[in-house]
Amino acid sequence: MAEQRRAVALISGGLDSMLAAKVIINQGVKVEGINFFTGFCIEGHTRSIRNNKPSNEKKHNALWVAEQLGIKLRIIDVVEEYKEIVLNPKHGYGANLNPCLDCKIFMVNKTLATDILNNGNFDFIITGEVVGQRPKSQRKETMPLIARESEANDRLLRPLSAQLLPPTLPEREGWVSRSKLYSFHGRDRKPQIKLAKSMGFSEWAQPAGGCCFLTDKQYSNKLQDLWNSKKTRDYDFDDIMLLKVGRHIRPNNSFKIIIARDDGENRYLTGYQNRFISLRASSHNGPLSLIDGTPTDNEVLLAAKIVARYGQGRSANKVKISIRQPDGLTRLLDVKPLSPEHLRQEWHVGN
Amino acid sequence: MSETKRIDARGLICPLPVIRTQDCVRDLPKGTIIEIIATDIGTKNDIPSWCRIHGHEVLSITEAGAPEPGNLPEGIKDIGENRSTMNYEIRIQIKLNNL
Repeated sequence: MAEQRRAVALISGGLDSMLAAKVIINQGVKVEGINFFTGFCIEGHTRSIRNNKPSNEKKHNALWVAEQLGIKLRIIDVVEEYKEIVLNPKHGYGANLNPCLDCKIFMVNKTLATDILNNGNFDFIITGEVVGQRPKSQRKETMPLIARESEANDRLLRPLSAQLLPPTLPEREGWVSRSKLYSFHGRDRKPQIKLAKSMGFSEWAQPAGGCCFLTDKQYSNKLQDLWNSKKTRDYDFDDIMLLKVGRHIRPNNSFKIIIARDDGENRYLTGYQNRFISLRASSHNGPLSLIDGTPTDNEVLLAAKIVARYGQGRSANKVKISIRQPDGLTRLLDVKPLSPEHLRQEWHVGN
Repeated sequence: MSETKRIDARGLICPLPVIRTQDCVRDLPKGTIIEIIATDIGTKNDIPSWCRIHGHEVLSITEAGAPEPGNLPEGIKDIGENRSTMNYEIRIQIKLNNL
């Protein structure tokens, strides 16, 4: 009996990578999953911070996919290493600050280094890439480039588009049958949905590409604003997490206000009160807000007026705002909420 | 009987509690009992899901309220990496089967 081959599958939690892995599992290959936590993942944020509708089950998509497939999954924290990809992408950005091509090369290379070169546990790598699906990273020309620059070369198999690409090692060696792979291409999702149904899947996460905040215009604008205000292209973990939370209002370059949009964000921002000045109305219901930067007293007053505007006291003549320093020292300030005409549109970061 | 190993994942947002657990168990023997303490409500589904995938056993899940807004839970001195909803705490005990 032939030796059972082993493949490691990049599992994003979306439909394509789930199907790609299933196609290979169905060919008798032992598959395990790998998932990368970059800090820019949308699902962790939206599940954990924003208020959730009861129907929106709090589950990690990649873990959920692994369960559906019956495979093991490792989640790798690459937050630090990933900075270099975001800050200096060799192949540039897509429509926003999304370095999709460099990202894919990085993830495949990381998988190669972890699972093939160092301990030899796996024979090849699978991704859910589809030729022509993504304008930046998933084009016919980028497929060989990713294989080459990740150094995975012909150990990188894309089961959903394999028939459109040169045969890879697992195909040539007969570990998988090329005739049972697919020739999906373009942005049409119908073939994937048809395949999913034929495999018995009735549920899956949103289509590929929607899992990273860097593809989001507003998020990218906020990141660019962060770099502009810091006067350097850099970030730390809390920076990129806070860009996901709240409305960001920057009256000038020395400070911005982060205003929670719901209770989930209120609770989340609570955890940052020991690091930032925080404001909240005490006379009315209103959102918790942080000041990021080094505001003058007048600027704190302006921030208080803005924060008052986002609470239930927005039409009141006077709102009492509690201003808490990071060390816990708190004072109260009576302010008149800023009128809409004084809240300038250009202060809204991200739009 | 060996002591229960504790993983303090308070203040960490999904999927970091799973990553901490995964990285901690790598070299532990079968039968080891681990208690994960977290403040991200997503942990309630993620750790059991991770256990099912890897063949470990969930022994118990206990949820509780937590400190008033504005106060960090005891033991968390610094903002550190990232934090989640602080008015919630979950403890999950698992037993490693190392399948």
